[in-house]
Amino acid sequence: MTHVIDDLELYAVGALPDERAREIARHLATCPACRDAAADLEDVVSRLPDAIAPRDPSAALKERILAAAEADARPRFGVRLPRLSGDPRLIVLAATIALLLAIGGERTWQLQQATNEGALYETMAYDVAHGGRTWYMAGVAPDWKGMGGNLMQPASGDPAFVLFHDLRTLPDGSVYALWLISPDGKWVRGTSFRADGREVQLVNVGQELMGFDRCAVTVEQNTSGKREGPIVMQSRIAPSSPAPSP
Amino acid sequence: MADQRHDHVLIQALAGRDLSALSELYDRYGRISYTLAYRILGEPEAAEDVVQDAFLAAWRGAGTFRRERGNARSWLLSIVHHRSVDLLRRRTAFRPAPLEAAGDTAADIDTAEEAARNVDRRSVRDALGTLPEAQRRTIELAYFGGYTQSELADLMGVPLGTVKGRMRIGLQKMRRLLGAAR
Repeated sequence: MTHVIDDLELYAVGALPDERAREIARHLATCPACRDAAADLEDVVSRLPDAIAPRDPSAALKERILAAAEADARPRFGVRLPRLSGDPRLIVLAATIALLLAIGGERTWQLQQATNEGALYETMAYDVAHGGRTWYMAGVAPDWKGMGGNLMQPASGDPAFVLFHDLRTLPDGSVYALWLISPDGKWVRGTSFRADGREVQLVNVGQELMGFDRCAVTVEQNTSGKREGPIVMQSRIAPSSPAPSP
Repeated sequence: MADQRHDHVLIQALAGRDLSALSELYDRYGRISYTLAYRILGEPEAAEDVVQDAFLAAWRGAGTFRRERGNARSWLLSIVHHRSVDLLRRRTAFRPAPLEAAGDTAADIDTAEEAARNVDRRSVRDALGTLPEAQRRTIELAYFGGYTQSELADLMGVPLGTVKGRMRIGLQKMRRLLGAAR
């Protein structure tokens, strides 16, 4: 294992190129020694804002944040977001997602590494802090309870994907369809897929998230065409804007 | 003070969708978050947007926070910093001047908590002040200016290795000084 101590200071202040920062994140997920060193440096760096004169935001900012959080937590389809901290299965899932976010496209390797829960759990926190976005689709009551999926928009700019857990096997002739829904109610099918029998299953979205504010999974009889089947899980989303062209 | 919840308790409550915890976390770190975002971006509206985005990210990602591996403040400020720098790099129009001395804020000292914060601020400023100018500039340009290592090398007219060395020595020295001040 090649340690990354030499670059941790630049990593802590965010001065490394994106690719190198991702390499370091990948290493930190598996190396406790470097992770501890990085945590020490992040602690120092987080005190740098104390060196500048404090400024007060507008009084309205707090209200805006609380209102947005309240709206975020409000069930849009009668579904509440889960607590990742409470369910060990979801923690493992989150850990898997963390690695996926941190290191981009090497998904087979990532899934193989997902057993190192503690390290991956930390990596999840890292990625949330570094721009990755995630929305949880919960199985709707009562028939689809217990299954769900995290729609991920990686910070790396890689295509969005969903990590499903506990997908049920469907009868022959039926498929799951993953949809993105625009604010004006237009449903666009990202992809169709079948449960592969594993506890955790990765599915590429097949569409850019921009322009959509909800996602859903339905059960369909056809692999293309309009939505006809029942919704089995869903969530609202708020994808990040793409960087403007230079 | 006695009835204040610890940061990690607030984060746990956040993961449980407790809006009062978010409110308390904002009261605790909203100002420093805005201070940092404003320092990087130089615009009040953009800074507020970043802070809002960061607190919502914390709201959504609280379940991923791991207490043993860092503190809530560090985690929250890392979100603010990353998003501010990301926005700054997209714009590329505004890059703050290297140094901006922080003034004492005597008018703010109206509570014991604020007084303690001012002691912390002074410790950090003192620690930065002990660094040689080149090390201090390197740290500040990277952290507050959002410059990458290559940009720093160009800007300061030194090799990449020098940038790395200045950053390492400067931050390690600050770590020792701030650790000793606690």
